[in-house]
Order: sequence, then C-alpha cells, then structure tokens
Amino acid sequence: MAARGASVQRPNGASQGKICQFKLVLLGESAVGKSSLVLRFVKGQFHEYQESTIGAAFLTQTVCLDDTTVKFEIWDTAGQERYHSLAPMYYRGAQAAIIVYDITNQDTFNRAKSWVKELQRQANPNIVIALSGNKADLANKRMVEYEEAQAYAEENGLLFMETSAKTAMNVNDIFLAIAKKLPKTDPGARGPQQGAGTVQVNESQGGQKSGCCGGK
Amino acid sequence: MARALRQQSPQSPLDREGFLCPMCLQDLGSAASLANHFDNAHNSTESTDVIDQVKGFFGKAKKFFALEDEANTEVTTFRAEPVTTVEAASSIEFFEPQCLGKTRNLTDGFKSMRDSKVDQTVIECNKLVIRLSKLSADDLPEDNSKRKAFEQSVVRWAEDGSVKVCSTCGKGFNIARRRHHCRLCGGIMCDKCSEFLPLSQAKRLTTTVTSSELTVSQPVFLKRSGSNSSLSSLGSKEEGLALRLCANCRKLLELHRSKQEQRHFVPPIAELYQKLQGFRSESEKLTPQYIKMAFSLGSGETTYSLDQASTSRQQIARLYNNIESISKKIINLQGEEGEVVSQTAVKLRLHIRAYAISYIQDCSATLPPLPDEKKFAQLVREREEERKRRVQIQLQDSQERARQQQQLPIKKKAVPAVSHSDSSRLGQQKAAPSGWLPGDVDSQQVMDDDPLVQQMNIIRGYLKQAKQAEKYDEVEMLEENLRQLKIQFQQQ
Repeated sequence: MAARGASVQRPNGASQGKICQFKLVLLGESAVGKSSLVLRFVKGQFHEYQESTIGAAFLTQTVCLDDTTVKFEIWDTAGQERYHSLAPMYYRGAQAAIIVYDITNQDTFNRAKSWVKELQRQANPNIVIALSGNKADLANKRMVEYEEAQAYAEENGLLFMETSAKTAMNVNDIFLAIAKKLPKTDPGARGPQQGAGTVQVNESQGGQKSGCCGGK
Repeated sequence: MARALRQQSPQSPLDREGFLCPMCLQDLGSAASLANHFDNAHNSTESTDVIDQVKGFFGKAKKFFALEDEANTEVTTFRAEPVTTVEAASSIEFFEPQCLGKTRNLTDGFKSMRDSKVDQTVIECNKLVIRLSKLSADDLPEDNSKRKAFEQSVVRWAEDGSVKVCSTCGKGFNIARRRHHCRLCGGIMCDKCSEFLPLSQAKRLTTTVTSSELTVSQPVFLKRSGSNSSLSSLGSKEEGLALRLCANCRKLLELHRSKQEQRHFVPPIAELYQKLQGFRSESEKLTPQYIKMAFSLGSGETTYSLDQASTSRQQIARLYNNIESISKKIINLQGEEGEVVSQTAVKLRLHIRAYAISYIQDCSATLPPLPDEKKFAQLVREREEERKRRVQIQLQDSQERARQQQQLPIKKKAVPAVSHSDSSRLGQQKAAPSGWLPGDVDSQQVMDDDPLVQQMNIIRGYLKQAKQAEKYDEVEMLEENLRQLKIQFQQQ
C-alpha cells in the first residue's frame, strides 16, 4: 500500500509543494494507548501514567511525503463508554481513522472489530482505516496473535501494524502509511457533506485538481 | 578368673556366708580382719584381678535377673550350675522379638484427675486466705470473748463433743490434753499439734506478694514455744499475736505462699536472657542507622561525619560484646549453682549461646566497613567532581535546547519545501516534533454531565490556546468543530 502511494506520487513532478490537510480520528477501547500513540507521534513523548482522555483531544502534526506536506488534524477520542456518543461527530468528517487495540487484551480487539463495522456502515465510504495493535513491547503478555489481526485486517482492507507508543515502534510508520494511502488531490474522496469544511487546500489548489491521478 | 574361682570352690557362692574374702573365699570372721587381710594379701598385686572378678559377679547377676522370669526350674538349674555364655545368649534371644501390645492413652484421664485435684486445692486455699484476711484485719476486737465470737463468725467451730481424738496425732482428749480449734477450718486438734501463725505474717500472706518484698526462706510460722506457754495460750498475749492453725491448714497456706513466690520468682537465666534481648533490640535499632551512615559516607556524602559513624560503630560493637558476655554467663550458670541441672536446661543454655554467637556473626558480617580518613577525603573529592561534571552537562543541555528553540520557527517555515522520498528517513526527521497540541483545559471548567457540553468547553479552551499560539489553521479547525458540536447540541 505504501508502495502504491509512492508510485502514485513520484511521476507527478508538477504537484510539488502542495499541502494537504486530513482529519484523522483515533478510536478504540479505553486504556489501549490512543493518547499515548498520538502523543508519541506529535510530541515524541511517552508518559507512563497517561491520564484518561475527556471527550476528545485535539492535536495536529505535519509530515512530509515526497513533494506533499500532509497536515494531520488528529482527534483523539475518549475510549470510555460515556463519550461514545461524541465519536460519530469526529469520524463522520474524517478521512482517516486509526482503530487501536491492546495486544495483551482480547476484549479490546473485539471492540476494535466493532469499531471497524461501525465505520464501514456510518463513516465516509472512502475513509482510510488503520488497525493498530498497540503495546507491542508487552509481547510476552500477548493475547492477540499478529497473524489473526493481520488476517482480519486484510479481509476488511485495513492497514495493519503492531505499534508501541512506549518504544516508538511503528508509530510514525503507521501515520506515514495512512498519509500515503490518502488521496492527495481528489476532493471527491472526502465526505460530500463535510468536505469543504475539513480539507483546506493552499494557493495551488487549481494545480492539484488537474495534476493528480488521485491514487485510486 | 571366674572359672578359676569356681574350680576353687565347687559350691555356689550363695552357699557360704560371712566375711568372705572375694579373692580366696576365706572366712575372716570380722569386717576389720577381712579388710586387713584384703589389704595385705591382695591389694597392690592383684588389683586388676579384683576388678575383673567383681565384673564377673556383676555379669552373673545380670544374667540371673534376665532369666528370673523364666520357669523356676530353669532358675534353679542356673543357680546350681554356672551357665555358659552361649546358653545365656540363646536365652536372651528368646525375649527379644516382642512387639508392643495394645496401648491405651491415659493422658486425658490423668489430666482430668489432676485438674479436679488442683481445683479443689485452689478453692480450699482461697477459702483459707479469705478467712485469714478477715481474721487478720486491723479492727479485731480486743476483748477475748468478743474475739472468740468473731473468730467463730468467720468459720464455724467444730462441736467439742463430736471429736474424740486429735485429728493429727490420734491421741484422745482429756484434762491434760485439751481440745483446740483451728481458727481457719474450725477443726479440732491438741495443743501439741497446733501451729501458730503470727498476725503480722498473716497479713503478708493475704496481700499479694511482689518481688521486691519477697524474701526467700523467711520463716513464716512460729515454732511451738514449749508447753508452758501453750497451756496459757488460750487467753494469753501469744494468742493476740498469732493464730492457731491445724497442720492441714498450715500446709495449704505454705503451698499458697510458695506458689505466690514461684509466680514472682524470675530464674537467673530468664533475667539474663531479658537483658540479652534488650541489647539485641538496641543493636537492631542502631544498626540501620549505622548502615545508612556508612553507605552515605562510602559514597562520599558529607551528611554524616566520620566520627559520628565510628562512635555509632563502637556502640554497636559494645552491644555485641555485651550480648556475647551475657550468653557466656548463661552457659556458665550451671557451674555457679550446686544443684543438678536438667538435660533440657543445659540444652536451652547451649541454644541461647549458639543463637547469640550466630546473631553476632551475622550482624557483624553485614556491617559495612567505614572508609578511613584518607579514603573518605578522596571520596568526597570524587563526588564533588562528579557533581560539577553533571552541572556542566545540564548547562550544556539547556543551552542546546535554547538554541534549538530559536531555530525551530525557521525549520517550520522550511518544512513545506523539504521533500523526502525515503520514508524511513522521513520518520527519523519527524523526531523533531513539529506537531501542536493544546495543553490541558482546566477540568473544573470542563465538568458537565453532558459529554457534548463538556466537549464544547474543551474546544473553547483549545481555541483560546490556539489563538494565543497564533495557530490559525488550528483555530479554524477548532471553530469548525465547535460549530458542529453546537449543531449537534441543538438537535438534541
């Protein structure tokens, strides 16, 4: 998938210097490491005792991908059940979602599956979903096999990586993989209703529209 | 030897009696002449022979007793003819393979019997002590007749006519041998068999004895002071000073007193052991302090002084010495007293000694050594250097950070222009964080029952921060989100 993204972009020399902005939402059971994952990605930090998120936290991070700068508008939702009602607001307008589960806890994987189902039913049909098996540093307490998760991800067309916010393993990689998979120019890829609001295109908007093949 | 003896006298030794010499079996007639004869004829030259012979006699006697339970006939034959060793061995074998028969545990029976006996004695004793306390009260009536009435009110005196003989000596009463009443049980005995308890002693018996006023082997009871005074005892001064008791009551009171003494008596070993434990707990208090000091000094800290630590160490060493000497005293206790020391007492002493030694060894092994003054000075120097080095590093770090922060805005502007084809390198480059996140919003403000309202508060907090940070992109995103939240809220 990553290769596809790269091959799409490379021949396109004309689209240099464009900035894409994407809304990304993190979903998953509470205490699987969503906030840690995103804090690692945005700040490069890790807190052993990360406090539980209230509502949804907001973060931004910019990554450079070939000639494109991708700015992520990250909504880190609370995993607790009482905030579940907020989640649809955030994933409805999102171009990407990371569904996080804890490899040491089978229940969180089941919850991740139900999130996938919910997204498939209710979110933007072109949403890029990544599945992240977090806490990979605790492999000795593993309850969810890598193969099982990977098979599930393949079945459902998800990006899949096992990550560790603690050791930073695969954290940047999963965001980069998402960035590569996202359609850089096609405005139609966004949800029709929120598209205008969530994606901001810089001054070279016109060039973008004409110059890119859209990756699909 | 024994064989030679038998050849000399074919009859068994039992057949003769008198002052026989054990060597030549001559009858010497008297003890003195036998001793004389023995000294002269056998002493120096044949002393070993004597011992052997005596042994032979003992061996025979043992065999005799071993076989005694056998049939009588066998015993007689044994007596008549000396048994050879082979025979003896075979007859002993006859007894050996015996298994234990049916057994029965009598402990419970014994216990219940003993308990009832103990209870009875205790009750009896208590009764006597209570009466004694009444009788030895300070406000005793002076008048004899009144006193007699008072004494009779404490315990009912036995009827004179009901007792014909003294219950102790069994002699009949007459004019010369009059009846006397025990003031504690009301029983009757003769004057000779009466015991007298001085009132001053009586008070001591009734109050609880404490170890301080306890004086061992102090005579409590008065000796009977001759027949003259005893004749006049009924109304005399002596009666005012002492109480007349029967032998049985006296025995019980003595028992009571000895019990009380026992209760307060601390054996010397217990006293010493308590002292030992005191030293031990003291050393246990001091040791952690010392260890802390030693480690602190060992790492070059100057929180404690070297002197402090060494005095503490000396203190601990003194405690160890004390423990050692006390344990030695404990083990030497058996020498001091003439009495026979039981096996378990010896074992206890040995164990205490072994425990003390192992305790001292263990502790002194774990006691860390102190650095000497030169070494300590060096350690302090090293630590100082280390500290300076660390300060230096921190200074450099902070400078470095300040520089980075200055460069950061420039870098950020450069970001859009930079492009990378290598994704892994991109990941590394990302290590310098360019992301933004608002700080925590005051949770007091945020708190609301409705998650939606809560979230709107959070977003408002974020917005404020984003505006402050001049993050206009972020402000726009957040405003968009707030709008959505409001719509959602209105729909509810």
